[in-house]
Amino acid sequence: MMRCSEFEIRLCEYLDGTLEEAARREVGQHASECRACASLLADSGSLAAFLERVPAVEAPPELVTTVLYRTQQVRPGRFAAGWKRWLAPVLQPRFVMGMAMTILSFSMLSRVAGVKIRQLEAADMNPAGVWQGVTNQAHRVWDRGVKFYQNIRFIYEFMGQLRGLEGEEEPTAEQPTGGAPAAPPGDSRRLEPVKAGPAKK
Amino acid sequence: MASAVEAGGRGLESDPDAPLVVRCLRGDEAAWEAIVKLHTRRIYSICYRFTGRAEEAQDLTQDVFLRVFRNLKSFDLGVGTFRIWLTRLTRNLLIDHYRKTRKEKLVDSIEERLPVLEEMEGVAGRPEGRLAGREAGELLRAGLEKISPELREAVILRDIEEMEYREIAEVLGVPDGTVKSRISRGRAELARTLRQLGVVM
Repeated sequence: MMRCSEFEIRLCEYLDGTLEEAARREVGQHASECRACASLLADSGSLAAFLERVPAVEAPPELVTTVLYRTQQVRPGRFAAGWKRWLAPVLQPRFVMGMAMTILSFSMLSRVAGVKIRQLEAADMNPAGVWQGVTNQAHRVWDRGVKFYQNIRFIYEFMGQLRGLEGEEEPTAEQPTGGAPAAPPGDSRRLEPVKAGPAKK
Repeated sequence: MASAVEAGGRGLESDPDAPLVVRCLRGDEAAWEAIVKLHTRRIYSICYRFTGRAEEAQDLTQDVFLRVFRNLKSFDLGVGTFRIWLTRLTRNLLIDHYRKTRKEKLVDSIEERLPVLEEMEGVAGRPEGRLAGREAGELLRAGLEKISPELREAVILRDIEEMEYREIAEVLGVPDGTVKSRISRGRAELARTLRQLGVVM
């Protein structure tokens, strides 16, 4: 006797028509004896008839293009992904900005130091030459600084002496009015307009 | 990659896709395009029948090919055909997708489908012979959605995609007998569901 679980399995081949005659008869007999299995057989048959009316699904025509496009995007990504991972910390706006500022400040420094990039030649790049250039520049900057300092000192000394001369001259000019009280009248004269300002407001 | 190329010789006779796969693994873009063109309709059809939604089926088809593109190296030509491997990958993706979206679907399926089903009832009352292809397709979609995914996939692969029992067993990773029994039960359940939708069977 065939069991229902076996009937379920054999039913497929029964409907396909691939069962041998003996097995075929067995399936038919089980269906005639078992109500549940008989309806299983009937349902399967009518479903097959229904499915014949259902048209095949057609994919949207643009789907192939979309798939190819998306896989194209992945393909170069294989290599780019590796580079991007390594360059990720470098490719940040902050880093790029910092880099730009560094280049700018170096170019300004080199301008100040008198290095002309356009006139640079391979021979200029040898270490001894670079060192010489740097010490040369350093000496020049130092000398310039020293000269500037000395010039300023000279001017201050000169100004100081000039003031000293003026100071010596002043007492001699005001000597007739009498030594100390010479300053107060001068002071009050200068302060008057300042005091008058807020008073008028 | 090496194993697939070496095994290419063996797979060439039994698997019509094998030469394309071998070329594809060597970086031949035309071969990849040919593979996509050959299989898109079938993969889309499986996805559409399983999900019942055109947009979802398109997205899933794209995902399938992206996954194939990335994992082609892992396909072993010596073990099975590309077609079965591709179908298994699709099926696994569909099941993942089903598990992820199950809860959302329970909510929106009734609201979304109500107008379609109402419209269908008028149509379905007519004898089966007079059902137009498009209407039959809509009814099949509504019917498939109501049966369990386990039975649904078996019926789709056998009755719509017309795969061999042995191939389906490989795709689903279950014995032949289980496949046949699922097909029989799935057919019966689908037929019952279609009757509930008003189809005269």
